[in-house]
Amino acid sequence: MKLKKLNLTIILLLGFGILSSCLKNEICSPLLAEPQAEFFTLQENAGIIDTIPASINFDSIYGLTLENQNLIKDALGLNTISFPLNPAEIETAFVVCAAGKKDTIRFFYEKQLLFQSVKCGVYYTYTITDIHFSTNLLKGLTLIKPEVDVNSTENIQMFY
Amino acid sequence: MSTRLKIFKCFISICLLLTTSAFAQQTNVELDSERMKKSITPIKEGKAKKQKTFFRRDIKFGWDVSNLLIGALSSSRIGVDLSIDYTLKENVFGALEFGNNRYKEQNDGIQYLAQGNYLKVGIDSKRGKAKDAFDRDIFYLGARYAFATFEQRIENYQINSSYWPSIIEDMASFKNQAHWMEAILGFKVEAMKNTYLGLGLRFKVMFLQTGNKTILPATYVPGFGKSGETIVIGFNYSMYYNLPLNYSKRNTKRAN
Repeated sequence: MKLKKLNLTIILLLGFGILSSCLKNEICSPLLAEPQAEFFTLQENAGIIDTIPASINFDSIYGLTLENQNLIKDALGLNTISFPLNPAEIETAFVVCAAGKKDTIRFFYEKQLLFQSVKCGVYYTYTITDIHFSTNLLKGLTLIKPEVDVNSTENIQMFY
Repeated sequence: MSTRLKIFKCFISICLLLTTSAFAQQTNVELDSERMKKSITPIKEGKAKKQKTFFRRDIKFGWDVSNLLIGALSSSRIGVDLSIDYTLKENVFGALEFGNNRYKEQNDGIQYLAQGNYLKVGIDSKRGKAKDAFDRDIFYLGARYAFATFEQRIENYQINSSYWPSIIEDMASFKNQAHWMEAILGFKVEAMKNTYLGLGLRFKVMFLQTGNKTILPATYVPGFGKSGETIVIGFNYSMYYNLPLNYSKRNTKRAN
């Protein structure tokens, strides 16, 4: 009787193990790691410079080698923007047009390949090593978080 | 002359005796049972003699055919899984398991492949009592430390971008290692003489994975299985050949 109970327990556990391995259902989310930039203005009050979140109107933003394809066109009141880095390269440049002026921002980065799953695929995460930029309209730029992951929030602060 | 003949006869007799005893193998069941009976014969009162007990000292060579069975249903898994267990003490067996596994998965052009070797070392402890002297079925609890070294490869993978053109790469491969523990609940049934069939339920707990970070934790670890979870329940279905070795003698306490 005891042996029967034991056998039954083993079979049940085995069945549970097999079923639990079969019932796993994977849900894929988009795998895009893009650095996020937030816009600020600089205001001087009694000799102290404050950074205040700003909304910027952009005429266009496009990749330097993809002039015919805008990342953003005629966007009003933007607080943040994502700059998708070129996965085929180790540097990517964007042209930012606002208030009739153009600035070029060039990101230098290292890539790390990450495998999510066979169903969800592969993606790159990045580590920004350097940023070069012109200052026609843009007053300054700070890299606050070089690691760019799928869940990354604010990587760059851009000052206008 | 007669003295020389006597010495010669004596020498021949000793040689024959030694040769016979050296080649005598007591492997049949009847002989086993006789020896067992002798070992448990009560000692006559008043005579304090050492009581001798015997236990089988065996070595079992096993082949886990579960991967073969799974491989027959789906071509994604193939491998060779072998084991050796040896009687360390009465009811305690040292176990060594090793193998080479290969796992393949494909979806929308991307192909994942993992291949490598694993080694498991541990002990099994026989539970329960044998019904009689001929009952060699084993119900056991076991524990293993396991280590695997393997290569993971992805082929024809695509990296997408929301703005830039997607890129397709041919192949990338990564070397990884994994360490885990297993608790086993199983039994081995003697189906034919010295041939056993065994089923084991295994609770596997991954505690360390090292190596390239691209596929970490690894999708598949040889010897562990799909490693999406920290704890995995698996099973083995094995066939064993038992090689009976000499009986070991063990002195027990003096009978009162």
